[in-house]
Amino acid sequence: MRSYGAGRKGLAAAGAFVLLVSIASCTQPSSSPNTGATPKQGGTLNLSAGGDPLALDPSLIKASQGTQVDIMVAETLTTYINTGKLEGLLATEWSSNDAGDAWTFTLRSGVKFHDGNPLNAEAVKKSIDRLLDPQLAVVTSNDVGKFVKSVDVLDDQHVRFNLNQAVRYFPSAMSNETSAITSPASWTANGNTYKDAEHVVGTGPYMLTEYVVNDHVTLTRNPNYWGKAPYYEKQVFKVIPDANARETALRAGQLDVASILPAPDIDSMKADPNLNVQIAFGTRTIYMNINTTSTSQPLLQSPLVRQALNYAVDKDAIVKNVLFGAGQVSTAAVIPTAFGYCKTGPYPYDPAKAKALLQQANATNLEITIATPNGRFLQDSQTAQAIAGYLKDVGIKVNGPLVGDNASNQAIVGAPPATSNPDSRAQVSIWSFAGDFADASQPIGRLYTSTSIPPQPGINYAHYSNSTVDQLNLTGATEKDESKANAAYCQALTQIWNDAPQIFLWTSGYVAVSSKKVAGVSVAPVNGIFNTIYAYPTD
Amino acid sequence: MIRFLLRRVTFAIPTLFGVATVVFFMVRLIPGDPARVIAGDTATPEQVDHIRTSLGLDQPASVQYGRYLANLIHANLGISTVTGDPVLADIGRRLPFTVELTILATLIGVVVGMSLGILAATHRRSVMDVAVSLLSVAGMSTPTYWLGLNLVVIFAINLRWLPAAGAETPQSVILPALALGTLSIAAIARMTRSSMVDVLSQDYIRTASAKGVPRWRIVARHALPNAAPPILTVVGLQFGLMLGGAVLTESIFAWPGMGRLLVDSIFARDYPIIQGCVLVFSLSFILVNLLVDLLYAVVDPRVSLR
Repeated sequence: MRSYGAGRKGLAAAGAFVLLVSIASCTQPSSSPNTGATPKQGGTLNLSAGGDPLALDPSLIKASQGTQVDIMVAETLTTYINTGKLEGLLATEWSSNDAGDAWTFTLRSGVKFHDGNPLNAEAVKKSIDRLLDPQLAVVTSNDVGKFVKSVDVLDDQHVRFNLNQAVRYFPSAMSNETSAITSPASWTANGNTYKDAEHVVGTGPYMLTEYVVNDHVTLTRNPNYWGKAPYYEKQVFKVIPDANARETALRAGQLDVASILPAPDIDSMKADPNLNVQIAFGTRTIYMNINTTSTSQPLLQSPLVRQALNYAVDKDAIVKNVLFGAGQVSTAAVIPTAFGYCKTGPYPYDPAKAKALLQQANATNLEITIATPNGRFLQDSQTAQAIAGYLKDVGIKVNGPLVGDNASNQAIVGAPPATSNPDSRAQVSIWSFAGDFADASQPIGRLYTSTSIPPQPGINYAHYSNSTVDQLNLTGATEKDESKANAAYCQALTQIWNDAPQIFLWTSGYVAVSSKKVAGVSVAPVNGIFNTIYAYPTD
Repeated sequence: MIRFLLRRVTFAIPTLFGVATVVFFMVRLIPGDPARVIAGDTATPEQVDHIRTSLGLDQPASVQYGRYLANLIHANLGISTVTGDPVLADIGRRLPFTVELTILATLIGVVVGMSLGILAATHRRSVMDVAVSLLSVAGMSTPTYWLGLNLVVIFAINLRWLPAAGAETPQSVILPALALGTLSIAAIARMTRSSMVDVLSQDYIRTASAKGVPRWRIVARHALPNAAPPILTVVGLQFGLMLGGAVLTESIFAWPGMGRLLVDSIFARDYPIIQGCVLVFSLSFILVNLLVDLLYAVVDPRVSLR
């Protein structure tokens, strides 16, 4: 299955170079689809979302590029990718027992894997059992792995998941691509092994036909797809890690769709008559953690001071001038599309109020050190610079920002290695969270509960702890009645907002640009993913 | 000749050992924890610890170094922490692309650079000579990155003659090779010019001229072979520069070679791959310069390899 570009022949001599130049000057590159002769049906769509997918086996997904490919190939029981709302994909309905700790899914009938084997309850059980198998080097932490105790086959079309606690949003968690269902027979065929099945055989609208590591992945339309047939015969994911190179390839017509492009170029791409720029807001929120237990700067323990930091920063201006529009100012501690969201903000830009709050808290001589990663999140270090400026404007003495690169930032921003370290080098630092699915329990649980303060599992780097929030989040996650769950989440979000353990910033924008010759490209509300399944040529 | 080769190869071993040692400790000076990078931002500390232990990164550097050297002697460069494949396999996949790119770029540098140098030397103090000098200075001072992006804008975006990125068509190599080759055109042209000017003022050239030997034959048959050794030296050194330049060029053009592998590995803190790439780069530099020394003997019979 994997080929590694081995077919390339060594290059000949200078004569060959001259020949190549002359050939090149009279022919278009064969990869260019935009020669005007694109057939109405069939054809190839060329995409790039960055670097190599690293792993295509859904259980072993290591990068968003892997998810990007897999959503077309291996389907999940439920999904958000088509409408942004939770829908059945391989499952048609689901229900839980009264206690809410066992969920039964009814499978779609007549669905076949790409290898011809039928999708049934046995295949679902085997897929999920494999995901939970400690033998497998699963990297992405997944709520399915956290909650599922066992899987029962009830009959061919019904499968039951027994959980270790009541989980109201379990059907949402099953939309995560890591819990995609693949053909058990395929795990030991085509060079696959049980521990690493890179030749993915799912039920999706496209079949994986070629993966040349570090070069491209080719998907071919599944002729026996159970749902609406897609348009393009092939979709080719090209590996182009450099954002500028991706942009030039798109402008040169080598790509039809590209994502994660340089933010400062958004305006010039919008002005390009050949391009369609979409900015979508996924599940990634950006914020600055404020160390709420800091002993090096105890003033940060006061909610008044933390609110003052929120009032001091003009988020709208930073989104406009630093993010070039690719951000949506936070109005709560979770994204607006999450189940459980309720509007608790924003903190308006009000430097006078910030100063008044600092005065009220006896913090007029506040001095803090701030930190940021560099290039990990969209315009992160530039954002930190801007925020430092706003904080200085209200009289705060700001040291930094300390800038760490992609790998070293965690040491700086205070993700402690093995033991809890309430006094990391920086007291206020940029970090981010991207949910796997849109339910408030995940961000609240990972960021704002006392059980998510390191070294416990979680990224509560603000070391924020409030027993009311803990209790409300548990209610939200386990309560079967959705309106009660919603109310509990809303109360928790209001509490978090007022306690202000962070400078709440924005939902990160996600830039996907497509050629005007292609329509039907949407941005899936799962972070960093665009949906080209039903893309079609416009001419 | 055989003794010469043996001696050079023997000298290469401590050099490579030194490189291996320096690289090993240098990559560990890059801030950042590979286990954390691999685990991602939602991983639990247990997951991170598990990854750290499974990669052997929890051991003291001295233990890791000993294990690294022991593996190195068995030509085992380790396992990539990102792909999980042997480092040699990962490098083997990328090496042909970089070899193709640098050979083509070297050819561009040699053919164009030497032609310009010869033109300048044979038309000394003419407009041609000044033009070549100016071009050389401009070429030497042009950053590869800037040149690469401009080539893309002109030939890929505006004219649409050549692909902007990737390596799927045979034409794909042209733009990166041009960007990389330009770097060496200037150096080779300057060296060719000065070396040729020296040779062309020798008595035997004047004698050949007086005997009525045609001008082209004097240049090609009598002057060029004698002017070649210093040019060869420059070509060998330029090859080393190109390996460095490939790191930039391959990123701009999404060329799937070793340069890009190295850059990606640095960002991913993939220690074994970084070490492997630098070793292979050093080895190729040593080999190319050995080849240059061997070529001395071919172009200049007075040089004996002992």
